[in-house]
Amino acid sequence: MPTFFEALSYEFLRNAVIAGVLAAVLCGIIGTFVVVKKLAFISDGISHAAFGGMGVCFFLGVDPLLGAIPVALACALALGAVDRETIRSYDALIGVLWAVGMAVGVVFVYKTPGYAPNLMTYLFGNILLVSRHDLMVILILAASVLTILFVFFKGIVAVAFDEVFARVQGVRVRFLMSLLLSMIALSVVILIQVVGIILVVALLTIPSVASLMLWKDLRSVLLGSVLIGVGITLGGLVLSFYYDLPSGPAIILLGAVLLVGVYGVKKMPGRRLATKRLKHPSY
Amino acid sequence: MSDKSETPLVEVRHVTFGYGREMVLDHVDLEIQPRDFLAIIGPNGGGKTTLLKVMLGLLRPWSGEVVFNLPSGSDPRGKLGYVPQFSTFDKDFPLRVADMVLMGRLGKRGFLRSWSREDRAAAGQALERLSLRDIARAHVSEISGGQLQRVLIARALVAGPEILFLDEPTASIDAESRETLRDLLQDLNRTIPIVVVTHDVTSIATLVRRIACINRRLFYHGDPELSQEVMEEVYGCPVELVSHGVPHRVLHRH
Repeated sequence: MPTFFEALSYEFLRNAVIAGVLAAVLCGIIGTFVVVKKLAFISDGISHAAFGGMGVCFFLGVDPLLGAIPVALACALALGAVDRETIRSYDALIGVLWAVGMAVGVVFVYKTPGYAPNLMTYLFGNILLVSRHDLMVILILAASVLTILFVFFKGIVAVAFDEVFARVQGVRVRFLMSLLLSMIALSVVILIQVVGIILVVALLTIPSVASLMLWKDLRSVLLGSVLIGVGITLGGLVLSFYYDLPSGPAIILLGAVLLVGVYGVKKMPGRRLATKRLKHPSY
Repeated sequence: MSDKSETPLVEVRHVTFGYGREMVLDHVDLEIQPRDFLAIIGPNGGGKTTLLKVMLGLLRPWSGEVVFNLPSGSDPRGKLGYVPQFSTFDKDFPLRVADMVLMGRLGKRGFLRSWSREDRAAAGQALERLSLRDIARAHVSEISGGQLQRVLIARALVAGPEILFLDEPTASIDAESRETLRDLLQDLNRTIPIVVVTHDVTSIATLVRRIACINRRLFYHGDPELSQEVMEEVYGCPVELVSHGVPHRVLHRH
């Protein structure tokens, strides 16, 4: 049996590694904002709604991304524009988007004449099937998202940290929030290609949650989150290669193990007591 | 008072506002003078914080308007210093004290350009003024309530505001920090007007020049010498029944 490095001479594995690393870098950065701003459920909702767009594209016989991107962006903008006080239950609205998106997707896939793509592929993805064309699309989209984030970084951080104060300062909060949601939506759509809908949120959250436990300033958290994401992606691919595991779940399970480990270290009894005593010197 | 001849910096004119169908502010008129130290008091749910949010432009009134006559003009954007309550932002956000203070320059700098030397110098001065130099590199989640309060004030001051608004500044800090806060506000009030929304004016009572009592309507606006009748009308109950920490006990001359 060849080693993982020898196997890298196969294009499909090389593509998987490159796609995985790109996805991890993107996720690490976007995911940090998703976690600090508590947008995980929104991201999940957008990814499922995007499936509706994909279904329509199957039916029409065009590239699924052509449907997924506009639908994901439309959902992001709608969620950013809706007035939370009027809608009463923001969570429920996301739930509705989620369900409707999936229903539209399933109906159109069912009605697609001839070969119908396997739904499981889109729910769970297959990083080993990433083509050279997919890779180019992922690269361009990832580069655009990261560039936009970089340009608007200060404003997005201010809005994520303290929306009200930002508004008092005259910062265009609605615009920046919609921009952030759009970037999340684009990233989610890119990631559907790589790890599938079900695992998108896991890859967006696991590295950032672990990183937030380990570091306390934004730059370190972002860097840590990228490194953890790249680490579990490569690690998951290696594991799936040697033990014949499905690659997406292997990446996520490795991440889950890491998360539990970080949590365990942070919650070790000795450390906890020490901090408590410091915080309440009088007791 | 001599203030009365001056043009008010801020005029709240017949402001009416509510959430949903419930009216929270009913035709409120209020003025903020150039050297004011205004305490907005009233019972919980009486609309104090709502009035503050209307003045800050965070809420649009159903009717009425807020007019600014600041020294630099009538557009208040980026000129209002705001010290929110602790509950309005995420204390666990991964951010250092110095970076948080720097964020107060965002309105001046715009979010597209990177921080200039001027921004960093201003942040340095604000940290110095509030004795935060030693914890400038600490994380926001690690510092005490009193320190966090000073960080919030530093962030509000770093852009050189022409008026400073504080929402319940004494609520989450200990007695010693309250004293520091009082000295600080006294010092700041030499140059800019200060507006404090509070249900407890005890610790800043000596600084207050005028008070406004809000309970849906504006019940009183003027010198901090309250009559028993006004207080009873505002709070809707006999003064004796109101528990400790209520402003009129402190302000009323016995």
